Amino acid sequence: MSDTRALLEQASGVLAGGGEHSNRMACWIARSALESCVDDLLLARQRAAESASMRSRLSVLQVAYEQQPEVAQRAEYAWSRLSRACHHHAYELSPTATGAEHLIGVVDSLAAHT
Amino acid sequence: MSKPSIDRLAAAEKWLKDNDTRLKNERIAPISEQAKRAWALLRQESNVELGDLRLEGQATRRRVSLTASIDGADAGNALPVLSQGELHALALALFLPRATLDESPSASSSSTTRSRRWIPAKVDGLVTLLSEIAETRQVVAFSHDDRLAAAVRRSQTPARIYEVVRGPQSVVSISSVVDPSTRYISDADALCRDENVPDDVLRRTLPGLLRLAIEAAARDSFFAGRIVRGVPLTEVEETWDSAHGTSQRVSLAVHGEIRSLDHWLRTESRKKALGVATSGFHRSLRGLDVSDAVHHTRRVVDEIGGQAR
Repeated sequence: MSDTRALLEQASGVLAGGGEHSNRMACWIARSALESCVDDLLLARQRAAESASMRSRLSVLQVAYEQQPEVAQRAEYAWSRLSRACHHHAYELSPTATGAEHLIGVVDSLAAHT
Repeated sequence: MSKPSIDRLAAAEKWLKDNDTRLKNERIAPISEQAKRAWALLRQESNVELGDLRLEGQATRRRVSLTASIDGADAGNALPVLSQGELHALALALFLPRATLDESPSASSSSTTRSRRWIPAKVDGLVTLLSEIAETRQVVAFSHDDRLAAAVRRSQTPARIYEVVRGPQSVVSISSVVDPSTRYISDADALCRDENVPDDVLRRTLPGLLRLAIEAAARDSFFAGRIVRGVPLTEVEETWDSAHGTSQRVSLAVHGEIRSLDHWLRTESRKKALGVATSGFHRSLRGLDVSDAVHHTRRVVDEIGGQAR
């Protein structure tokens, strides 16, 4: 099983387990899954750039998958939502379980392109 | 009138009423389906699921009935179980499909949202929903806070964001905060500055990003110029779609028609930027410094943006 799939399963498991911090933890794991998924997608187009910033990798992804614009759109969306969900914000609540589940689903649908 | 006649008339009236209700409900069936889909996008973190939308009652007692289920369990009437934010979302979920029916006279759809009461996921759902509508309609959304704009920025939707400022004496000024071509240029800039992007990846990606920037600027310029002159949007779109490749699109922006760019290509920036955008697409960027490529493209984007033909 690929890293992405393993991480996604782990994220779903943590989320299902419940507990005080499970939503945020699931988001952290899903965020790692997304990074690994984007790396796979770039590698598939011979454009590996693992150590570059995520912003750079997402730009490369946009051009590499220009014929499938939904790939970069979904990755961009998931990255920005997951990044927000992972950090504590003074006036924002933690991610909800359905929110985390939704984002895991987005990464999962992206992994289907690899 | 004899009893049998009255009975027949009563039966006929009942038949008419029943069929009237049935026909009305058949007519709103597409709205009901689209409202459910809109709600699915807007609900995001709500566990309320929308059921069927039905028209009920007659004469002065007509109403719309809306059912809902919570976590899969039937909750009967939808309205009492929704929160304030959900009610706003529901209003939009019902309004947007109606406004975008083929029979609807509005070619554009404008909405004012109170996204302040919305959680971030709902705002993202709204952007997805509006982007889908924007494929066939012009969508104008007004908002008082930055969350809708922020959601648009991260969704990569090719949308323009304007800031409306009301000054002293209610003098209103409108300025563009961010447009797609500026976004592509700033992405290209960031990519060049990232030392961890391997050079070959950078050189293979940059032409694509710069081409997207130039085409976005050309499109904006061409559309703005035509629409200001009163050319119907469908016609403008048709002309734009008939252009293939970056050169033809730039030609539409600078000449207003598809013809040779030889005369226009007299400055260094134009030549280099267009060279990168057109030939660099299939091959990687060669013989030109990456930051020079961004610099020349930025100049061309500014030039194209500055003139609407």
